[in-house]
Amino acid sequence: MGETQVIFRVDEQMLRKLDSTIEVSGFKTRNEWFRNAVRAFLEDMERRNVIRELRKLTVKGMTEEDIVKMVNEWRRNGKAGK
Amino acid sequence: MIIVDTNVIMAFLITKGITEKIITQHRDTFITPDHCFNEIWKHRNRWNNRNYSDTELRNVMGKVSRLFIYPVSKDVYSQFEKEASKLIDDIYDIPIVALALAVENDGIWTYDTKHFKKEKLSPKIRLLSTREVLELHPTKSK
Repeated sequence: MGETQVIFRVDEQMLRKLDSTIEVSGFKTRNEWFRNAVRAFLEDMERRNVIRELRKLTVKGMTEEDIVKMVNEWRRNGKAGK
Repeated sequence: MIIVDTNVIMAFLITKGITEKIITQHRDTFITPDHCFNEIWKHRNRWNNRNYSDTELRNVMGKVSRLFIYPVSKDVYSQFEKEASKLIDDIYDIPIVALALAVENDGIWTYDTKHFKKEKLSPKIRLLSTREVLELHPTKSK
């Protein structure tokens, strides 16, 4: 997999602050931290998208009791079919 | 780590409420035996209402199991199934109880706490209602 170099600007004070916390957060380099931050951001976006996709399955007014009833019913029918 | 029952996964998939809020706000917290996802998939025609094709639904469920509720393979809990079967009456609950015996966890989250016999399970396994899960993992209001 190819790599691309990214250059970004931050003010010095912010960079010093970042550097002082990178190691205590368990990262060896800025690069490692940056990669992790990008990964976390992308995963967060993906999680939001999945929640949006689940809307298509939403059954309005469904309660915990209704779900228990539904699961118990398919289990009962499953047993009867055995 | 909290083990979730089939009915909680179902609520995550088809309702929008506190269950969704708890699960989305706590990463790397919820696991389930792979059996529960298989069971939900097997009965998909009862809850999918043809909104998604099988391919689309498999894709969505794959994302749910990768990003929110992690399925644990039977290899991990199969050796505890015999012990689990002595603690419960319903054969469908064997995998979930076996998983609770196999890995360190805070309990089984289920909507159907009456279904399990608490006195048989304790002190090895704790049953958690939604309220108890909220106490362990409070949610932020958005």
